Amino acid sequence: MKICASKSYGSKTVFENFALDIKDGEILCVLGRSGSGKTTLLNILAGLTEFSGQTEGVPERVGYIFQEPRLLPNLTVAENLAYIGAANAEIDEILRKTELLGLKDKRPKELSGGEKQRVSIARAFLSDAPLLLLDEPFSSLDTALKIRLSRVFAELWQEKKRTAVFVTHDIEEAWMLAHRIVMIEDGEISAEFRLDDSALPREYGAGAELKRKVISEMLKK
Amino acid sequence: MKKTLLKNGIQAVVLLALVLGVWAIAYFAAGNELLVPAFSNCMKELLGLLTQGGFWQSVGNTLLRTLLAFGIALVLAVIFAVLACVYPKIGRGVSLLASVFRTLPTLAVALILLVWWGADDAPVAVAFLSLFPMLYTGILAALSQVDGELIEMSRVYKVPVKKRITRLYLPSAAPYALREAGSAAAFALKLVVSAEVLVNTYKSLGGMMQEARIYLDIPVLFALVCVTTVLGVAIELACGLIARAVERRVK
Repeated sequence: MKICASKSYGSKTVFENFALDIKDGEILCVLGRSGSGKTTLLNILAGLTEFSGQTEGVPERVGYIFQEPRLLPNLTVAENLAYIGAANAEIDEILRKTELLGLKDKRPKELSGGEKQRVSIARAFLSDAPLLLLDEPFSSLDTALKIRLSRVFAELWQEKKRTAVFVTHDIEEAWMLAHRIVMIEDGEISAEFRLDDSALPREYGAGAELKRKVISEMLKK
Repeated sequence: MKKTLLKNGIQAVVLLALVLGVWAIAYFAAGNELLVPAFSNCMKELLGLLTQGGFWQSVGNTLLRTLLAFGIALVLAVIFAVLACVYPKIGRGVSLLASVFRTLPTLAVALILLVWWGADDAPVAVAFLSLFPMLYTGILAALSQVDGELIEMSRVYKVPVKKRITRLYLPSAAPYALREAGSAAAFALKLVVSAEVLVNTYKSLGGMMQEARIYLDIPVLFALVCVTTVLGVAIELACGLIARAVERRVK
């Protein structure tokens, strides 16, 4: 799928003819500093933000893992998943895979931050959307939880092979989950890195050479 | 919890003492039973009323009218507020209608409705006309407080409108709307009784008040005002309790 977009908020231009190709079945990581337009890009893909330009092949239905889990507080875990239209059998299956089956009847206030985010990941994979969007979903979690949730995400991705656009400012998260990293700076792609085909998630803390390259790109600006 | 109950109890006793104090001062200042009757006379009349079947029938009729006016206004306010939230164009039309209702001179409308519908139904219509804009505005405000991030999530996952209304909008707005509704229900009683007084509805609290006024039975009139006040407070308290229970369930 392709996108070519321009977007401004008042006098502030976020994108000017920003073009991006997303290959089917890949996990594309968009890396950039805060305010570089990463979330705007996801919102354009999700149809939440108006923009000028065009898209090609972007599906109408997307799954979105937000920075915060965005669960309905009055519904249980299972009801939250049913809210997006999933059937009971599918819900039980995804809850088993994400090790949430025991928490199925709990409400969000009874869950930890990591458990809530796992429900959010389960919800995104439950939707039949061919495109998944992830907006820094692990940014507020500790390292151990980040690694665990990356594993959950990678296992589900392995099974469903959905195209995913993953936005983060954390090089480690990008390393663990991406097939390709694009860096955006001032509304433009400033660098692109293709990662090897090793199994996801990659080992936390490894990949020093790539990380050095990415960081040196970051420091250029 | 116990501390709050004690605090509320003390506040209620102090308030009651204050009302009785003001009553006593007014009684002695007026020095005329036709203007301000003695509290003891009122209570005697009240006890007398409580033993009469007709009194309870009047209370029942007034409460039924209150419930009817409040129920219709609440249901329509919820429907239109939800529609206004989902479809802003409808909202603009309903807001205009609510403004018109709000500016209608209630007593004049009561007299017109008395001619059209008779004394039994006019109080319901009068109360509805005042309650609907009040409830609509309150519920709309409650709905506008629904978490924008959850609305956005629902849009992304293309959750059907009906499900959004029943699972997101209504539960989120319910506690605030119920608190608003509590005050509105007590206000509904006041409106219904006022309209009953004006159109002299047969076998109603308002009708009994009008009758007491005509026969200068002031202790009975005061006793009926006391009954109406107690009923209003009871309705508001009951709605408050329901709102708190819903809030606990929703959050």
